[in-house]
Amino acid sequence: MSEVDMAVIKPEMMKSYIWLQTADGSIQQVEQEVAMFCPMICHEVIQKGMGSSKNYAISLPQRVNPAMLSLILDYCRFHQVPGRSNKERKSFDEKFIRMDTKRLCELTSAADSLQLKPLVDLTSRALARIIEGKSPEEIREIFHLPDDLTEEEKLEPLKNTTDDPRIRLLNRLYAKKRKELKERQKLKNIEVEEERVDDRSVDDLLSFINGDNGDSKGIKNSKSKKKNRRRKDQQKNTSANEAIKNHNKEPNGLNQVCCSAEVGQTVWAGVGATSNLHDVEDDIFDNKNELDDGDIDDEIDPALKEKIDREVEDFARRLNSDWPERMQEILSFGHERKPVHFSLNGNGSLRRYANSEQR
Amino acid sequence: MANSVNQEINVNSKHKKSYDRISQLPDVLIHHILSFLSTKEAMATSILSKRWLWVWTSVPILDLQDTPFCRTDPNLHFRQFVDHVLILNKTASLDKFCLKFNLVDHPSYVKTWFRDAVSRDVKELDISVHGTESFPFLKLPFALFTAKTLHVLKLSHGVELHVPGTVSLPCLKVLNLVWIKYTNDESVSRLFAGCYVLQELVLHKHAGDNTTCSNISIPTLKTLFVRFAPTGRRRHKLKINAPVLKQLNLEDNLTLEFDLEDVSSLVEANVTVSWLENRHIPLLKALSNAKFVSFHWDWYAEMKWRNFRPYRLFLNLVQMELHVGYGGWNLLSLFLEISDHLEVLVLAKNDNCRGLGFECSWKPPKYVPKCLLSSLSMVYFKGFEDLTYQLSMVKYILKNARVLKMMDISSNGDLPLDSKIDLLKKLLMFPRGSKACQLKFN
Repeated sequence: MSEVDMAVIKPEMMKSYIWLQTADGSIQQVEQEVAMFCPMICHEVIQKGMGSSKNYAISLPQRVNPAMLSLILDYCRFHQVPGRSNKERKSFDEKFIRMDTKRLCELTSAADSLQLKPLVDLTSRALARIIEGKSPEEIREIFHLPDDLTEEEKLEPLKNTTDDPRIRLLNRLYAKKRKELKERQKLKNIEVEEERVDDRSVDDLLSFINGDNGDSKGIKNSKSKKKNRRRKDQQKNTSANEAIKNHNKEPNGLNQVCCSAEVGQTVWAGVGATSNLHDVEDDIFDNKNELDDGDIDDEIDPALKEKIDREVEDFARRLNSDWPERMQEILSFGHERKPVHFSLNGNGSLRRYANSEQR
Repeated sequence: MANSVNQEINVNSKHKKSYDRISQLPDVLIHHILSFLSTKEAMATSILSKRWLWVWTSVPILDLQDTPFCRTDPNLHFRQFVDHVLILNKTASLDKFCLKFNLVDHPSYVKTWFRDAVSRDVKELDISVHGTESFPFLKLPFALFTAKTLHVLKLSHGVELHVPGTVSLPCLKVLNLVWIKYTNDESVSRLFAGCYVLQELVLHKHAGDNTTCSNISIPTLKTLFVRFAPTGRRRHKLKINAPVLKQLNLEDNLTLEFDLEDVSSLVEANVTVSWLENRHIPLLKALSNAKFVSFHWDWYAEMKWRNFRPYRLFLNLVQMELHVGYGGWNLLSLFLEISDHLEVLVLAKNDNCRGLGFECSWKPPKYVPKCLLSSLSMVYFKGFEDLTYQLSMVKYILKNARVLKMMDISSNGDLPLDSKIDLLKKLLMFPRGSKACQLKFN
């Protein structure tokens, strides 16, 4: 071409465009530097020579619909400019990410199919932030998830771990150690603790209601860790008794709870007098398998132990709150440990809390 | 009638299904989303719906954190929790294992956790321990020091670096040792010797960590962040032998003795010291190849610059930042003299020392430095205080800089508006050696 010819060439021809086709058939052209920001498109252009004209438009994956493509190209258009500062980019990202969760999910999927990792990270983090700190009900509502698991299914994965031989071994070792520590403390603490059972439980309940981790209040109030553990175990056992009685009568009857609570208390006081029982109680709640292994003194009839375990679990399953904490508890102890909702004194706040659980 | 009701239900459920976009994402993406949550939160998603029941068990990231400073029984619960999680999580190839916990009991159980992680080809380990009175430090199991797949290792707080004779970390690229204790001076050297491809090192040290010298001799090191916590005047030796080191960030609050044997590839250096004194002269000399240097100090002790007269000029230095504390403005003249190709100069009054040093003085260089004549194009002065010596600096530069494009002066907020206006008038009156020079004032 002569020099004159070169001068006549229109400026648009100097800029390159890439042709893209979405799954619905529509074709559009996009500035090259913007489109090439996506690794998948880059690959198609370089390795396969596609995208240079309408006939050879690059077929985008099905997950990329025109709306998503438009968003992705906005993202690329901003970020492919080299001179931008980190602050600018971050600011853009924060504004860009503000969209409803449905679109966020679609965008994650589309960006993933185009291998645009920075955008996948951005949207994934946004989705994680949405999930973080929310209750299961809230999450289900936000994302329109079906509540299609039974209570039993929900706990199944966690229960299975207690059958794992490694866990049994570990639990056996822990139990042995705990026993040792308890032997030393037993005689000192027994009288003091019996008196204090009631107070401890109420404190624990209130703190649970107020949203603390069920254990933490106990820790703050106790002087020694061993004392505290025993106290908690006693209190939990009390609750378990309540739970059992409740389950047998009417799970939803609150009045029943209050009555049985008092009954249970009396029963407990009598039961608690037996010093040997302390060891066993602890073991029931800390370690179901341990009993099966017959590693500890069998002071309570094994059948009754099993029954207590099952009832506690069954009953606790009806509750559905604070799952991360509950799950951690489950994994820490082998099974549920929050029948505290229904134990002892039925003051106003307790009732209210219990009410919210009865759906 | 029953049929139509059923149909209605079907339509509704289909409709609902189409809204549940997140469950339609492939497992890989859901793992990615869950990887930004702690494992406890990720685990809680298992009860959301059938789709989510087992997804969390394949997330290749474990982030397990116990509540800090919890000294009593719940630590046992955390322990069992971790055991159970390690069993439930089925990933064979762990990308990251982040563990923050309190050392309440004898740490024998911790070994199992680390061995599990290593056996799962863990790529990144982030361990932070809160020691207690009975168990102040955790010694890591030796298995960790021969982990073939480890790329990133971060240790902080209650860890004691007790290193076996043989260390082999063939993939380790990033190492962070933050406020940990060392068995002796050799432990860290042995660790470095076993890192064949280490590129980035972050080292935060405090006195009482059982070392008297820090020997950083790593042939592959590209980035080094070293920080010494303020602890009183205890001698500590810092030796750096890193021929491919590109970036050095150094914070010296101890009395460090510098032995920079080889940092010849250095491109960027950011140095912060509390007391700038003679012992920093070897450090300054070692920075002579750098392109970007920033120096930040609080206090200045009269330095013997005769020792500094460099045999090498700072020929590569393109951008220089001086955050001046209480005195030491003469460094400006020094650097102008030795940096022939300086293009950008940033002068700042250290915020820690604002209001101090009003009696300081400044001596201009003997001869007009070459960089002013041929290369200096941008000058920034932050925290300008309208003091005599500061004005004379600005005047000198404006007068002698032939290719200066911009002089940007920002005063700190303390000056009242009319003083600012007077100041601006004064500055505008200064003669400028460069016709293209713009004066910006904040």
